[in-house]
Amino acid sequence: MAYRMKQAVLATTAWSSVCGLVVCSLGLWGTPAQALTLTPALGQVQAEQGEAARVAGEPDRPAAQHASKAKAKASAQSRRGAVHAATLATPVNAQEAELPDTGLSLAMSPAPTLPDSADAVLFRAPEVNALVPALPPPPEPEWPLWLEAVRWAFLVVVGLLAVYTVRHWLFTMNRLFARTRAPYVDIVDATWPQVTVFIAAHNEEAVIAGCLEALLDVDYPRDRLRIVPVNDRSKDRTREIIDHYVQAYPGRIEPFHRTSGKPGKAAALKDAMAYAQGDIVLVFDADYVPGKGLLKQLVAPFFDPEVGAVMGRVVPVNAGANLLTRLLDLERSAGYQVDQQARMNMGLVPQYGGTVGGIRCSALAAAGGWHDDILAEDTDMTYRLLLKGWKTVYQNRSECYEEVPQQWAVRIRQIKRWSKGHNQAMMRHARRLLTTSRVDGHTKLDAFLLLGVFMMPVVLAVAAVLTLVLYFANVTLMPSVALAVLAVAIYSSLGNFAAFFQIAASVRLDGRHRRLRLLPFNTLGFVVSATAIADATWDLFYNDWLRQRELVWDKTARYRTPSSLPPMPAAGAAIQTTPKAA
Amino acid sequence: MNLFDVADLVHAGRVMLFWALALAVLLAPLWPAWREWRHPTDDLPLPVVRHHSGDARNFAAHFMRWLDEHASERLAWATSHGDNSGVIAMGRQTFRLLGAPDSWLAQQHGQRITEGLLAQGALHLPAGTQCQWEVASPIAVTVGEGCALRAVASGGPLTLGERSQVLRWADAAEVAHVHAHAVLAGRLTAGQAVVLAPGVQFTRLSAPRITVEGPAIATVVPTPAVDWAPDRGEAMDKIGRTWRYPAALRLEAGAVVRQHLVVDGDLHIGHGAQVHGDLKVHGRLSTDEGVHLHGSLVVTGDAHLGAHSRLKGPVVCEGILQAGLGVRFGTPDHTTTLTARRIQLAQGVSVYGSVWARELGLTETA
Repeated sequence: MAYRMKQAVLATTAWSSVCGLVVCSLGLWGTPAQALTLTPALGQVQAEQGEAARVAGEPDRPAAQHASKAKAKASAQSRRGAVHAATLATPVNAQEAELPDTGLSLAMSPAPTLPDSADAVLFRAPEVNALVPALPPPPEPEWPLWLEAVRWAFLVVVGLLAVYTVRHWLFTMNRLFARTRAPYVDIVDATWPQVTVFIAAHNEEAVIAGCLEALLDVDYPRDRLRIVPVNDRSKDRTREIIDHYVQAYPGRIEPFHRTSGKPGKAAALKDAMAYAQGDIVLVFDADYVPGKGLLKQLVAPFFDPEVGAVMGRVVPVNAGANLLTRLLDLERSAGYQVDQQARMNMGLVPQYGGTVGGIRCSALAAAGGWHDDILAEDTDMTYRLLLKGWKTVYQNRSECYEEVPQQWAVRIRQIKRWSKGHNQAMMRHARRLLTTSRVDGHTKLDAFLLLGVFMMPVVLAVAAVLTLVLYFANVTLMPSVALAVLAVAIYSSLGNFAAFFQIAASVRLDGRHRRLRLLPFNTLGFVVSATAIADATWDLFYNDWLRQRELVWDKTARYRTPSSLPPMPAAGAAIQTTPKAA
Repeated sequence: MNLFDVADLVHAGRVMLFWALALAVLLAPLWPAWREWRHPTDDLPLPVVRHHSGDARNFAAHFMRWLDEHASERLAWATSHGDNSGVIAMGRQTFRLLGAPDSWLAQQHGQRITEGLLAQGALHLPAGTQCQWEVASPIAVTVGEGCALRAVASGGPLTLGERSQVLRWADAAEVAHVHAHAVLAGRLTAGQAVVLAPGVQFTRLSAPRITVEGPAIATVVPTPAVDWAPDRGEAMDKIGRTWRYPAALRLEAGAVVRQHLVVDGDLHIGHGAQVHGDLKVHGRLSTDEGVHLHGSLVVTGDAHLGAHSRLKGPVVCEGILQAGLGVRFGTPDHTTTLTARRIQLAQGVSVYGSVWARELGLTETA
């Protein structure tokens, strides 16, 4: 196991470090100006300046002042080239600065023989640079105010990226080396409480039967299970199929056919709460196919009186359909196997995902019920529960199949909806989260960072723009460049949004090694996602927020066809269920 | 040639070399990625076992089904022809048919048996027997002292001798009796009851009734009941059914708690106290004798349950759980689950349902 982990870590780090290296080579190599001026002439001029300074000497200048100024100028002169700046900075170290008469002694030292050739200048840089502290200070760089602002903005962005990098690195390391925390999944014998299962369905004729069949076959006491398909204004055969199952299994399904009202899953669930029995509500989307033991697994955490919501793991059933689904399969794997479980392990904030999960009705009521004016009711619910002191639990072993988008257009629409909804939740809850006293410090930090994940692609886009501005404005301050190099390299290695490192770790944890070969193609997925999220963020702030446009719910397409389903059972048929374990 | 021209060329060469190397290293992983895309070798969905229901007897049931599918005809033939010594090959496994009593088995004392054993009557494994494959009997199985088995299934009672070991699973249709210092590295399940002697190590037990041999249950002196009302904290829900107490708490003897309680600190429950809701403790839990918890119990730290306490709901402990003399979990009508990282059960403890020690479980010696 340790060997496999090490392989995963090494392979991922090596590959993505290379990516980082290439990305950052621009910064290391310098600016367009440097490309033109990194010539022998520059070295020669430098050498001549050094010679002149050596002859003149500067005995009156205090050494410390000289050293600090030289340091500052060294970074300023990096406009001429990163390599040159590095050589300038080399001899001005603290040790020399402490010498009281550095400048004088340097001036009195034997002058090195300065070569004429550029190669010699490059290869003898230390000798030449030994003279540099004696140089007269070059003029201060005169950057306009806006450029200074851009520099600082760039540093802030790099700082943000670094914070998210550390967060994801910690999560991945936790999953690779720490003990998995799943305290409730072992509860198999109990007096199981009354639960209501909602199946959110809007034009789901292709998949609703499969979900109903699976729920009718689950291992849960029948007298404590109510199945409620929430048919939200469907225009296809969804109603007909549901009604057929209601007749076929009398007393086991209580349908809710919603014919009017606000569109959207949250609005439908809000209305459906009138059909809930008991204190626990489980929610599945219509394309999900729960296994026999899944309901008990999802209900078990509610024996903890502090738990307000439970989330299971979603596994793409159409993973092998095409390149997109295979990439999404990797991404989902990282998101659940690493990200969610690590948060569960560390006692942070696992996210309720709106499906393959459940909510305690009393907690829901305390948090204000479902809000139908938000596109991500799941994220919104996670935070409202958290702010009221309720916990959300993630169970990695409570797995359920779902369909993922098979077309890029569908995927883009899906992630735009997620992005908008998540950012809505961020705007609603960020301030309250920071000021609440119910949440402890580290949970608060994680929750705050989780709120910001859909802003990070925007931040990344800003970083790209700032980098270009700095690049073409010839601003490559060495410390900031080094910082950027470091941050971008680490970021590209370990990254945000369940990126490479997390994916590699999760695939290894899932025991499916060969699919990891597709990892480089995930760059494509991330570029598409980042672009879509940036677009959605702009749309949210400009169109939906400033121009007060109404939010539109966009349903994800299904790929199963009705003909691929088994025939519907005859009325009165009964499914044999496994007797309850002793 | 001008020296500057040479320098230019060298410089340009370096630049080109750098970019060529960088591009090569950047593009290299795309080749296996391309191959995997065009010729998939690993594109099946991750397996989700739909039929998994968490049944503790799943391994035994699966084995019996497998046996039924692959060996039922051969077993029937052997029975009808009086063949008690044949060997059945099923895939890479072979099973030896055993009569009752069986002379072949008596000769294997202390030997490692590399075949599975299928007895047609009651099976008695001599002391020191080691068997690398499953052992099964439709009537009864008695495992001698110091035996080591991979797995064992009994259609009737099952007895595991002192210091015997079962590596994967053991199942009895009736009562499973485990003698002192046996080691159950896998799971032990029974259709009626499991009786454990002191010093037994286990991980997972499941039966309608699990008991640790020991003295009879004592009578606890009743304590006058006093309703407890929280003096600190806040209600987590609108009706005050769930209460969060923000610090360590000490419930006095005889206290009666009538709500779900979340304690952000250690909790001590006094003699004879009762909690009628669910209880969550962020810290350590200790109780005096005769405490009654009618709901579930979740403890993030260690838990020590005083003698003769009664717990009705599921118990989840993320640390070490020690159950004192005669503690009872669940009732015959309300089976429950006891799960913790480490579990120590004192004499006389009984559990109706399942016990799952994630690292180690142990029955205490006197």
